[in-house]
Amino acid sequence: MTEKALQQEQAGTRPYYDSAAPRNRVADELREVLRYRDLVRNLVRRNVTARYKRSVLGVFWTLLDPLATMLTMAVVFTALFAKSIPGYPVFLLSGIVIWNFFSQASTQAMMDFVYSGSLVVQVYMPRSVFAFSSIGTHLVNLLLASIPLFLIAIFVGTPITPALLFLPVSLLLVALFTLGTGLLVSALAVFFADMINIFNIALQLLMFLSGVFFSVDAMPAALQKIIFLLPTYQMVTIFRYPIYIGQLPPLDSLLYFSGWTLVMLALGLYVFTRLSDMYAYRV
Amino acid sequence: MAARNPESMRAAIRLENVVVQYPYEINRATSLKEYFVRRLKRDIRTSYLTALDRVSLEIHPGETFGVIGRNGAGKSTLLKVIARIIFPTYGRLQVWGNVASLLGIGAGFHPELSGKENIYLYSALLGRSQAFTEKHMDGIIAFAELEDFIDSPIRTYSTGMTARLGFAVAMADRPDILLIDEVLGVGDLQFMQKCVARFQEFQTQGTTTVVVSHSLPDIERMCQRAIWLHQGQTLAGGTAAEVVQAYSASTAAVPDAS
Repeated sequence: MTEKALQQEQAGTRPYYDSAAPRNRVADELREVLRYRDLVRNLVRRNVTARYKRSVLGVFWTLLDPLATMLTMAVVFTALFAKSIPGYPVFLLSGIVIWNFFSQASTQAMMDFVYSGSLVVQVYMPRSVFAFSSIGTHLVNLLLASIPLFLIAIFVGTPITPALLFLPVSLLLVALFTLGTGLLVSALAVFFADMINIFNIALQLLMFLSGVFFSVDAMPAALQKIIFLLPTYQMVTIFRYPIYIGQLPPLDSLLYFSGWTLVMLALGLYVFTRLSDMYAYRV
Repeated sequence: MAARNPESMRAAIRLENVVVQYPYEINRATSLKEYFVRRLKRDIRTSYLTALDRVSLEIHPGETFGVIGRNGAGKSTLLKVIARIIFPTYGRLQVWGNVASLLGIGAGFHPELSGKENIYLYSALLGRSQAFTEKHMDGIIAFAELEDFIDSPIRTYSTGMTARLGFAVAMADRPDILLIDEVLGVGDLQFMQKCVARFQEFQTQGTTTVVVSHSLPDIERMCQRAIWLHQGQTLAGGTAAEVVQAYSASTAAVPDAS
């Protein structure tokens, strides 16, 4: 603290806010999000409830929607892969559930921010609340989608083991990885609208390469090596293992993905806060 | 909540040589490909529109301070800087106390949610806790005079009802500093009077107010001091009466088309 600032504080006149005060952008942003945590909570509630407000079944659609998608996919892909992968519906659905979380939460973080328009220009709030709230929203959706997933697992006869207790750890890692990704693409999408389309295409490609639908064992060895390097493949692995195999995820997958999580989170927070002074002009 | 002792405070808001420049690229690249092609060709020309040009001012605690000027003079930008929506390009802003702004009243309302749900959402957007909103819920609904419609989705509300809801939420808490941007014309006369009464209540309790308005009589009546902004620069500053007089003299000479 400078001498002048110290004097001011002693005189009881330390400003509430000083634009010339040294900024630690990432720490400031996180502190503000914490202060605005009730806004994040309200945005999550809005996202979950407003979507189906006019329908008869209401919030049940959050449950029925993924169930219907999962069943459709299960029927189609089971016919293709059932012979090579035992307990295929559970293999597939565990992959789809975590993939949907990642792709939908990061996409919504980006879209909510880019189309928040009037909000960001007219009201002060930490800009990253949109990313945090879309992670929250899709965590709720994931929990709801887990209900049909586990019903199907029981029905198919997949063993329920204590390894499931590890899932919260997997989920925490995936949520942080998704947050980092969401912040990064949000920041870029404000400056380049093309980012929205590029990210969509990248997600589609990654979905097929990340072993959501089929086991990579069936792939050529050279391609397998590349796939193992994809963070999204390891993301699917650490979520799927406890459910489908009934064991803790392999340590190397876990460490490798944790490394990626740290990198993405740091990169996302850094880029997002570095550019944040510009959003009021651009959004 | 540091430093809330009005006795020892010389200012509530202080701006030192604040400059705000809006970047705009004359030939803004709207796609990544275009951007990189231009970057290689060194063909990115960024221009800056100077919305505020070395504005310095000091607003005292408890004062009502007016800002006048023509459209595009930088009045709203000034409020946005104080509200921390825009970070100054150069210069320094210091604020003593929490700031509430009546900019974008009702921004963030969701049409499908009920009045009550929107109160929670908007109140949280203004940085208040859930507990605070719950405590003040009845008061907000009563102030907005929406007791009978509070559980209906606000897409069924009239414009006036929506505005009342927004105001009621915004005014539920006395801020240290209140920013008002030409919003007193919203709603019917009766509701407006209620808002004005609430402002006055805030002021007697020590709230500092910054008012942007095109209505010179309002500025003269409400404010002790004022500034006149023109193309981002301070043309005049002083007592509200002086500044209003200087401004009217100039607009009488050059009729304002807007």
